[in-house]
Amino acid sequence: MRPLVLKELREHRWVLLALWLSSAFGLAGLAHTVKDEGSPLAAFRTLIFLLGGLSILTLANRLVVREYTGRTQLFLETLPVSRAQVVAVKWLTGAVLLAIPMAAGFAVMLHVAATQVVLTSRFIQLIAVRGGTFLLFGYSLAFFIALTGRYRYVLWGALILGAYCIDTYAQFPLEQWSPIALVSKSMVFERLEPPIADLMITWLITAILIVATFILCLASEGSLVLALSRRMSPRERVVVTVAVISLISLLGQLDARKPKPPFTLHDAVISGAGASQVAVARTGKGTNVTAKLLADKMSSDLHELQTYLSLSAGPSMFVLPDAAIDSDVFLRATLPSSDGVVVRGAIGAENFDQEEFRAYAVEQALEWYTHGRAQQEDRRWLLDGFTQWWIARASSARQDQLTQRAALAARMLHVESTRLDAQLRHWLMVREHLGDCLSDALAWRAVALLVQEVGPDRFRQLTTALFGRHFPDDARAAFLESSFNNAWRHADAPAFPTFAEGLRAALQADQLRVAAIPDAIVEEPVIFQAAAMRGGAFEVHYRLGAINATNPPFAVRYAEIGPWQPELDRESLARVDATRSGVLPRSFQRGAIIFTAIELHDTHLACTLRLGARRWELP
Amino acid sequence: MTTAFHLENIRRRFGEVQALDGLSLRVSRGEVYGFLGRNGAGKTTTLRILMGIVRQDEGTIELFGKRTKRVTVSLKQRIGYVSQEPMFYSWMTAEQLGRFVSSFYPTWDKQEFSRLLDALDVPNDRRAADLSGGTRSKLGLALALAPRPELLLLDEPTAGLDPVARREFHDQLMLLQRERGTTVFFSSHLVGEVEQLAQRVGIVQAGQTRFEGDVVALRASVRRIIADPVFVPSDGFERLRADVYRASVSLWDSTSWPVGTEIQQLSLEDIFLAFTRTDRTVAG
Repeated sequence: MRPLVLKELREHRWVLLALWLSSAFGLAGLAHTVKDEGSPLAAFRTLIFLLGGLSILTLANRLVVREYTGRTQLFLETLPVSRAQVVAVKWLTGAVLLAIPMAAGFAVMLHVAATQVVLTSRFIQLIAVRGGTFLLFGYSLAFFIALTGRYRYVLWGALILGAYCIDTYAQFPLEQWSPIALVSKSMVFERLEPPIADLMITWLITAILIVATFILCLASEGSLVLALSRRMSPRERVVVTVAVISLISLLGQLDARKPKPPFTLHDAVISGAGASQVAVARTGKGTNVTAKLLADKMSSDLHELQTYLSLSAGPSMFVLPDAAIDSDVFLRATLPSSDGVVVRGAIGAENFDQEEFRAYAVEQALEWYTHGRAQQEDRRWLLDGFTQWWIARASSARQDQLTQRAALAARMLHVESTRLDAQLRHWLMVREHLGDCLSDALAWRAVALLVQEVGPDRFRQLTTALFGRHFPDDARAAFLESSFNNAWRHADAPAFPTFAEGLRAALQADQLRVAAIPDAIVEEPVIFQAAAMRGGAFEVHYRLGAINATNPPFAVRYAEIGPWQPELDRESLARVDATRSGVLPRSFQRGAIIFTAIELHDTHLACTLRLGARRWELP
Repeated sequence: MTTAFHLENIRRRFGEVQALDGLSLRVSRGEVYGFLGRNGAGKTTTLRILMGIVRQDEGTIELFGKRTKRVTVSLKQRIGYVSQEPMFYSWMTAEQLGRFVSSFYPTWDKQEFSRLLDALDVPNDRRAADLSGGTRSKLGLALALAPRPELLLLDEPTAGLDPVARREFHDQLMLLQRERGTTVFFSSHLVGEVEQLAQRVGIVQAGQTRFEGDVVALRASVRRIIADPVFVPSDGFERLRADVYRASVSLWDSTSWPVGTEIQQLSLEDIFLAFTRTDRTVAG
């Protein structure tokens, strides 16, 4: 026994030293990173996962894989020592080498924690038994898998993938599994009751793994492990590669993802129920009535929308009033670990456009329902127009307002000389050019015309085909969904260029009919100029109207555009508030491509107008 | 002479392959025994059974006068083994390997190991990875002899060596064997090697012993009959291949041959070919 142990220590001493040193450094680092975890002992849990895992894999690899792939096992077999003895010595040596740094780490953790946590002997024993049992399980597993030689990576991959699938698809959370449950977050808080069932199951699995290890080592007089340690044949490699790629592709196609828990808002005014429930957060006593009215309207919007488009589900909709953002800015929160649609707006602010906000909420609901497919560029104009149309369909005042905005948008787009069908198909560029308010109005005008031309039934058929179908959130959707052209054809809509011509005529008629277009604003020149600075950098000067003119408050919006950057949404634009000409607060490098525009609020249209928007390259 | 080991009717199968099919051998103490066979005839399997690395499916082993089903660790301590391709720890020097191996043998002779390294010209401070194939084989021999084993098993020890290194290895082996009187059992498919070293020879083919005995007796009992027309000898002659026959020396001498018949003595290589060439190769 002794010479074998000494041989192992001598062979792996530098790796062990590095491992132990990294454990020591890791320990020092961990002690500082667990302040938010409720107990300094949480660092021990991290130590088990990170350094314990690293140690287990390293030890199994060094003790087993190296011996068999180096064929030195054949040399050992010629010596007067039994095969079982060799395996037992290796296994025990590895276990002790794993235990030493982990025990030392645990002792250090206890020492650090002693000043902050009450440490009873039972508590210490509980943590030690849980951690030790888990590590022993992990080591036994790694040792066994290491014996499978050329298939060890395949087995690890299968194990990890299997655990992931069970966790994700079978709704069986990994942290509740017996071995892993031992080192769950409660590990460092549970002081009284040992998790007997988890311990028993883990011990049983560990015992099975140890027995399996010896069976594998001794089977066919050790020739099985030796055979497994040979390299994969080209055919095996191909089979494994194909199997892995196929499996991953297959999993990528499956829709049965683990549903996220619904988002919750504790203090909110709630309207509606089920799929059309809307919750508006309370911000103070005075806003409750406004919140209730808004919640009722939005709930009604969603409920009717579900009927209209035959939606099978709807998101939980939450509204967070936010006085800190501009009245024309609406934002949707990203929810990484919960489900629902959470939108923010300056509800109650002076210029807050409630209809615009409701349309935005409807659009976000459809985005949620179609997993973002409703916002594809070929149909985006229809989505923007449809959501506006949906909110404005019973309000002639709103329709008048939208008509005026659309007329201005048409003027700014120079519809008389532009190809409107191309503009509709490249709608994201139109949005970037006109801004949200005018582009939404233009889209509404197109949809209003479309409803008129194809009739309400066929329009409903078209919107249901494009926005009312629920697809899996994976690659299958690409095969199942209707293309815009197909849906358009099936709705018996006129040929797209013909429709665009009709829209041009309608917009030109609107421009003649609507007298309230603020010519003065549109005709103010918007000028952006780059001026070279020292060192090859440029500053950008902006001006609205005449030199030194004082204007109503306006905002300069700008952004540097990176390669492959798609539509610039409002959130990605920087903003400078101004009343007169000035210089952007940042400089740009030569050759940079930037987007610049000026936005100002028009009270007559109740709309933020975007003027002089363009992408341009610095010299 | 007492028996060093006796294998009787040993059978061993690896899956579909019958590696040993009733092999029997008897090796006396103090003799050098050459174990001849083609590649795949079952030589390595026989040696691995003797080392306790694999077990026989059937048959009995008598080792150092003791009948046993398997070779135990205590019996292995009395055997030295040099494998076909020594797989030493590449990071160990000869000295470190000696220290490591010595722990497993109560009879290890440290001075003898140093002497052997000197005699065999093996540098004791170079890592095994840096040694040539011939030097590694000689290191294997030193490691096998240092515990002063009663039986030395060599599995084609010179297979990968050039002629000079092979001759050097043979010289050292014979010198050591003469000094110690160790029983040497070595396998080979090189007839010249066996002829040069062995006092007795065993020929194995397809897992069976085709011949076992004295080299001189073997050459005397196997001869070629050249006759025209073809002459078929009487009972007592065993036809090995074409015109090569085996019979007792007395029968060869007492038989009256037709006029014109020539009885030709054969080299050991011709005899080996006669025994093995027509047979089917079965295992490794």
